[in-house]
Amino acid sequence: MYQWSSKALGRKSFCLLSRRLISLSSVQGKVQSPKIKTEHRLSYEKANNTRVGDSAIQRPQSATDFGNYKRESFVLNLTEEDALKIPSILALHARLNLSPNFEKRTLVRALTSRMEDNQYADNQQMAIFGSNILSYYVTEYLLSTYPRLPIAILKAATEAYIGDFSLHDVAKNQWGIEADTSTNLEKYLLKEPKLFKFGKLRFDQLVTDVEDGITRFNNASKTSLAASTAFANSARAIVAGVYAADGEASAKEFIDLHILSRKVDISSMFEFEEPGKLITRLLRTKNMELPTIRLISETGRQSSSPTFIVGCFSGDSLLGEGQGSSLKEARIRSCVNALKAFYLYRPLDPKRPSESTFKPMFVDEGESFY
Amino acid sequence: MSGFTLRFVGRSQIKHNTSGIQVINKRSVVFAKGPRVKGALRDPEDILTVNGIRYGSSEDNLKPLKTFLQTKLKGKYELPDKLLLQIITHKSFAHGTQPYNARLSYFGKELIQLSAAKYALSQPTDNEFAINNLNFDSLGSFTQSFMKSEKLLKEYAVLNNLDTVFFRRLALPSGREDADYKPRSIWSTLTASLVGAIATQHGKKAAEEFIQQEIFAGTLDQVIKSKSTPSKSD
Repeated sequence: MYQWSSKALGRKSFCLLSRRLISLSSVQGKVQSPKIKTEHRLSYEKANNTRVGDSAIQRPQSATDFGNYKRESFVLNLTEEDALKIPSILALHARLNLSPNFEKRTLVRALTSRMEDNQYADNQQMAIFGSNILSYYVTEYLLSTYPRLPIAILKAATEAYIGDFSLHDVAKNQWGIEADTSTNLEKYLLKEPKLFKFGKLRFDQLVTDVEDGITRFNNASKTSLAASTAFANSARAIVAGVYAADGEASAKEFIDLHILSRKVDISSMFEFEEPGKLITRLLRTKNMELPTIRLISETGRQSSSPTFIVGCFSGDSLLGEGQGSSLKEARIRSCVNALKAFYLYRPLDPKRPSESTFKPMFVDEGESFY
Repeated sequence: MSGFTLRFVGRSQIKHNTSGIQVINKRSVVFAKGPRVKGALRDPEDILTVNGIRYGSSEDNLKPLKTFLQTKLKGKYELPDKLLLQIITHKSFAHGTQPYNARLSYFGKELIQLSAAKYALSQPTDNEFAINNLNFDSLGSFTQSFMKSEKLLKEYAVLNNLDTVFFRRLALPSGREDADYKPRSIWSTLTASLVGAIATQHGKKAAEEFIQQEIFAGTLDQVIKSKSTPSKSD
């Protein structure tokens, strides 16, 4: 039996020991605590802040001489002639309606992820650029269209447009990019020309199907990627390719056509815990009359399925309307709709800062009551 | 306890009118001013004051930023007073009850990030892997990432004295503050929201010009030289 003294162990560990009856591990103090790194929760933020690692880059004398940086692993580059022989590349080029300035071999590079033992130019840094330009134009669009979106919702909406899963969907299901998953043996048996593999998305897979019914999950190496990230990076790299070939205006048009044209339901991203309280506080900070709920119409109050329609008013102005099978439900819905009407405010004919017909934008003050 | 004063305030008045006699209920609240007193309500005036400067769009408060925009940039990017006050107010100030710069700085940071990437691509190159003479190989490197970092944005704000009047929560609960204590997550919002405000009022092109000429051409080299060339990845 040991007699633990609180002095020897420190107060905290004493409490822990006496309560949980466990002994001090001999490893304690030897195990390094993990280094704290800035964590980016959303995948578009991760893509924006990807670091290549300085061991992979040859840096010139002056650190700001960006023209003379060179990637160590880049040795081989597919020629344009070879790229023209790959049917899937030609098909993708035509499907995306890319301009003739966009070289076919750039498309091959956009489909090549950073891999171990790969000497061809890869898409990692193109994807960083693509991610930067995508996140700017999406943010610009969201802020000018919905100037009052809270930042958390703004980020969630950006993620819904250009996060890994959305871009995976764009690249795979809309653009028809295929992953190269067949083995060398299968390619040999199919008598597939070696060049054809460049027409598919190639990456070190984090999860592989070893054989039917067996999936291997722990392929983690420095270069392995989840399928969604690899597809998303190829989409980002193609956007960067459009920028390189035809300039920023074309890249913006490309983003408008392929990314911002998708429907994102921002209204469903809001969740209010106490809508009645929130609308009261909001109106108070805006120096408006406090909300009153009034019944607008009702039917079947005595029946098993009544319906009530109520309005949330500030003075004489109707802020939001809600319907429900009880008065309480209708009231809560009306408050939620009033809050959504405020946060999802859209200026008439919003103009983005990158447009030539730009007018000064509406700038919101921020959520002053939180 | 010394150094604090107590202030009596009649905060709420309730008037009754019962059978012709008017009764006024007055509730007096005591506010503590100065150092924190446990259990006492803080004076709201205290919260609206940073280092002796009272919050508000007075000429004195806006003057430093206004003169910066007028003299240094030849009045090219003038901004309305309301927006200037919003730029110099951080979310932490007065519990976020005043208009603050979070959304402007978020937008500004996005634009700075894009400009940093475009700047890296725009440098002349003879790299054989460049696409249409644009060399992507520097993206994601230490120095290129530094161009969009909060550290650089903070340095720019400090070098140009944008923080002469800056409304934010004082660092310590006691209200004491170290002159060197300038957390970059707070100070970087000054530069970023200035960029964001220029973009919202004068368009993307004007804001990009500002970033190129002011931050990248002016401050970047200065900061990199003063901190000795960064070589390791962090």
